[in-house]
Amino acid sequence: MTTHEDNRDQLLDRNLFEIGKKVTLPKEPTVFQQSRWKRPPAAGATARIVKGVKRMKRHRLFAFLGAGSVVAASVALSVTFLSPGANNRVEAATIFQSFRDSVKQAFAITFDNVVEDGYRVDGELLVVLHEGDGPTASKQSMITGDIEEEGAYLEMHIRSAGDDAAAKAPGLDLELALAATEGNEWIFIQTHEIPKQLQRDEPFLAMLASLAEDGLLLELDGLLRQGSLFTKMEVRETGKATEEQATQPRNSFMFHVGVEMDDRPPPGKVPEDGPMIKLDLSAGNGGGGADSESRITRRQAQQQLALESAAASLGMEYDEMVQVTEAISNMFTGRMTREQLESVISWIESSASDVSIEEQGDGLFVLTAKGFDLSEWPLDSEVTEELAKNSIEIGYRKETGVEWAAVLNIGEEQGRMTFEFVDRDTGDAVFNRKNRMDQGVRVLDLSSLSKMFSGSK
Amino acid sequence: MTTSCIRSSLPRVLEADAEDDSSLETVFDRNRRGLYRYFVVRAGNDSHLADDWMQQLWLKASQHASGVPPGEVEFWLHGVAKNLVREHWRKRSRRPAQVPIADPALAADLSDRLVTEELPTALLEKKEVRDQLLLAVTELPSDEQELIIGHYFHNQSHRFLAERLGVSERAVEGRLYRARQTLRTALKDLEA
Repeated sequence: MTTHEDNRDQLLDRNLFEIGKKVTLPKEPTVFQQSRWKRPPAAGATARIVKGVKRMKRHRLFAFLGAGSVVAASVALSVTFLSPGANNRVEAATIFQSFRDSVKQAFAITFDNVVEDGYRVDGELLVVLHEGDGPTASKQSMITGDIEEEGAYLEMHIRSAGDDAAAKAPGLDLELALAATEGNEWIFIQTHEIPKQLQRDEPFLAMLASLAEDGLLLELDGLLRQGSLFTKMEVRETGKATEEQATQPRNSFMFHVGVEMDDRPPPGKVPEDGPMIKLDLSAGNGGGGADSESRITRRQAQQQLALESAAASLGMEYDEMVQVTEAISNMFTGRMTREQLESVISWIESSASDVSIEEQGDGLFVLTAKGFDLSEWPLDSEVTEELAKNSIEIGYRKETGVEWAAVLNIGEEQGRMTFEFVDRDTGDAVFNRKNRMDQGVRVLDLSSLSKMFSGSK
Repeated sequence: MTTSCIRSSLPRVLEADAEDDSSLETVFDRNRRGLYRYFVVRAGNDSHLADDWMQQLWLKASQHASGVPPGEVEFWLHGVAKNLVREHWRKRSRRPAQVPIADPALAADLSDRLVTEELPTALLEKKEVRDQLLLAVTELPSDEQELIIGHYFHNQSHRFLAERLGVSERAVEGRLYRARQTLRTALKDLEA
């Protein structure tokens, strides 16, 4: 290469570095996203434009990720069926029925750009249901806890949002992934950045920041089924952080991962100064056991707590909450009575000002509801204000049924969340830990360590 | 600069030399991230539309790739991708404002200026300029695209890239040089 060419190439090199600083690349596809590329597209599918889930309470949005959140999502979804006319009632009823029938194999909840209180969360949750359970049995798991999910996968990217002056943890940037299915349990953490102040306050976080900078994979095989792993890291902006070890009830598959930005202490907790960031990674795995009765009791207790929390968040009575949830559950299991359906439709008719059902070709119908005015409902005003700007869409295709349901415009920056039904084998790709095993990723086999210390083989 | 997990997402495409790289699935997997970026940029950052295109691409590949000579599958995939995008926007009367539109004159000018002057910051802050650069970067073959993105967008050193690729640092320098030239060519050849 001549000197002239060399100079030109050096200039090109410098310019490219500047371009790298100024030009933003699109977000990389998630593992979950990639797993869907080889699924056959729906015939004539148009680009989906929907996402969302209705928040039960501003501060608790992320804490409802998991099985419990589907209940929350379905309460939200019930509000979508504004049906001003008889024809639309028939459509809505059909869509309800289809929704029930659709839940056969697996479902996924995807959330994009959900921003709240200075945090931005993107992620996906996949729940694979037991094969052969059928829609009735699988949906019962939402309420009675009798039947566990076969597997679940979650990935999240949590970052601070807004400018540093407003952000609660400026610069926070971390990724989490968790997979739990029989014989395959792991957690992946990558800490792109944990604010220095947090690290100074919490030495554990400083250690984590170092360990997980290039990725940290925790092998958990067997630990979850033994019920011995339940790690909750509570990090407070000020004050002392605590790390709790608790025993996850066996066979309880409350997949609870979230970031709570709550400036009020949870019930029973001593008030602390300042808002709290809580990273709660817990996954109990399903499986048989001699104490199935106590398992069901524990699961029901957990569900009851979730309903109580939801009721409190919405300013509703517990019994009211149970009725709503039962109606939704019956919708899924096909046991919804005509009266319950009429009630749901009436709720919606009185709540949203703009509803439409649009045929988009190839048998695809999209039901849209927006302009919710829930001021008459027994809800906190901040909840009704939030719901007023949400819109909800459901995509329904003749012959195949409901394909997705979602809520748009949630959070502070038009976040979106989609609930969709997917094939069971979608999990095959995402459950594979090799998707996370890039160069530099540290692997910590907690399962083997646990066996070593416990003396078991 | 993106904050996503790019550093660890340099795909195993770069390690694919040791694998049987002739099967459709292997070629598709090896190029998937580059193809996705190609789609998502041309979808105006609509990830759902990009996902739909990826699904359609895989479907077409599954149905038709058997007739493509083994060494040309990658090139064929990119051709199909281009057609999918073209057909999609052709059927629609207008594109959303955020969808980049190729400006061949501007892109060619950029290609020249990249080697003749330090590009001013104000220039790089213009959307139409950034669009041309994104369009060109995502036109690159997957392996060169990953090198350019890794080195210039994520500041991965020659040493890091060498370890990841399993080659010497000198080899990385050579590959980067060629990738830079390919990028300039992509800008010059950008079609409206």
